[in-house]
Amino acid sequence: MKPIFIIFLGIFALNYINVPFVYAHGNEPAEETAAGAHPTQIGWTEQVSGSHQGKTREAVAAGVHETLNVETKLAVYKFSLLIVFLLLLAKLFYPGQHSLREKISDLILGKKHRENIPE
Amino acid sequence: MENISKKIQLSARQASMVLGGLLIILLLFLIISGILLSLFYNPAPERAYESMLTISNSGFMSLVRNFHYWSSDALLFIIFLHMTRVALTKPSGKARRYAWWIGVGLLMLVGTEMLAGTFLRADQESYEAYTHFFLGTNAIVAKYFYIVTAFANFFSESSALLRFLIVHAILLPLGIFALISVHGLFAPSFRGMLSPFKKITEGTIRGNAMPPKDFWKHPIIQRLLLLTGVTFLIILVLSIVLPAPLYPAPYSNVEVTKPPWWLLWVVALENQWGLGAIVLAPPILFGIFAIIPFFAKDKPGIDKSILIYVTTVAVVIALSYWAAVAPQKAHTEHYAPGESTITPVPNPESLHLQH
Repeated sequence: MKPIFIIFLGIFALNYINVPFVYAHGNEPAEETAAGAHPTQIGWTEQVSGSHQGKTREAVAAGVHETLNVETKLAVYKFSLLIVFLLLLAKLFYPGQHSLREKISDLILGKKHRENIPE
Repeated sequence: MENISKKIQLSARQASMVLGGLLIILLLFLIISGILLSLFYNPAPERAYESMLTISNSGFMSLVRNFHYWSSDALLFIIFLHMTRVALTKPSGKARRYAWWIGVGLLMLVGTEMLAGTFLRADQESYEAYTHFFLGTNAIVAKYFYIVTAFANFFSESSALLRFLIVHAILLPLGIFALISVHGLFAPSFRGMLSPFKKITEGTIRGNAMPPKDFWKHPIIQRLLLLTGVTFLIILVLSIVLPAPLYPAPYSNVEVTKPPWWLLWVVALENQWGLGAIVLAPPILFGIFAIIPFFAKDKPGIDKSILIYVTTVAVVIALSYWAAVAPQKAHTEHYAPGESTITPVPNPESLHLQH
């Protein structure tokens, strides 16, 4: 039974972990909503019903700028990592007759250098 | 040194054959974290973003949310690797063809699942994604197939998010697991992976409650456990270090974000050809994947099926890079609600809000 209690306490302790945040969560102050809108009704419906509710396009774009930048960088990293893994898979299933090191040597020194390499 | 390199290559190759099993485990991660999230998520349109803020500001629940997000990214990543492995080992012959086609169906379901999950966030990006879905259906496809307006209208108004939640949390996962079962009937590597589990089933029928002692020593189980452990650790570290994105609360008639990384290739086409690209591009991509088995030959070496697959993936990745570095461009802003009878947002009057 001890492991169960340890796991339970561990999950309980996780509640107190303060996860560091990178993004601004866009919790706009009430005074930025259009005049006439109730300040507590900052919901999906109120803000999207027909108009920008007083915010310009530039202001909305500024609010997402930081998150979009991070997401764009992460997208580039994810695709780069995907390319690396896909190339590794290709190498595993189609290793070819020469190793990667030999191919690079051929590129730099030319294939004729192989004639000088003893068996 | 050469022997070690060959051993590593062999182990990596064997590990690549259990990626399908790893996908099932990732689905379990998503289901468990998703159930926890659904306990705190509120699908009412005026409360959805607030509930997302509550989740993101809570210590443990934000970790669960990040875990859910990174598990979904890992799922898509591993799907690409699994598809590539299968394409390189040739989906030739009837059984493998059927397994491949069911796999393409699974890819479509997973893509829809991730799209529905994006809608549920109810932030600026979600609203723009929803607008694309609504306009793509009602403004473009409906010109040729009017019946689709019923589908889009069903997923609008005040019940939109609740219906997307049911689709995302219940319908699509059930569909995915049902297709996996059929996929496994035809996929030889899946059937091979089931062999240690068959012994458990036979033992259970005989009345043995515990798995046989050699179950955990089976090479397939060992490889799967190792991959699961490594994947879990990577996802956990990413969940702690890089939180899931949450854009600001949404505003209509503006398009200022880009979609998630796995949809960027569509944005590149949208930047060139407008909103119609989102309707045509995904079916074309799935169509190309579907015809691959017709070009696969059951003999070693590169053939047309591999060339088609590699070229398609290379084009998708290149388009994605292009869209990532290109400036953000609006494609839906000119579809203002005032210009047509389309109402892409829930009607506030139907919610009986009190001022």
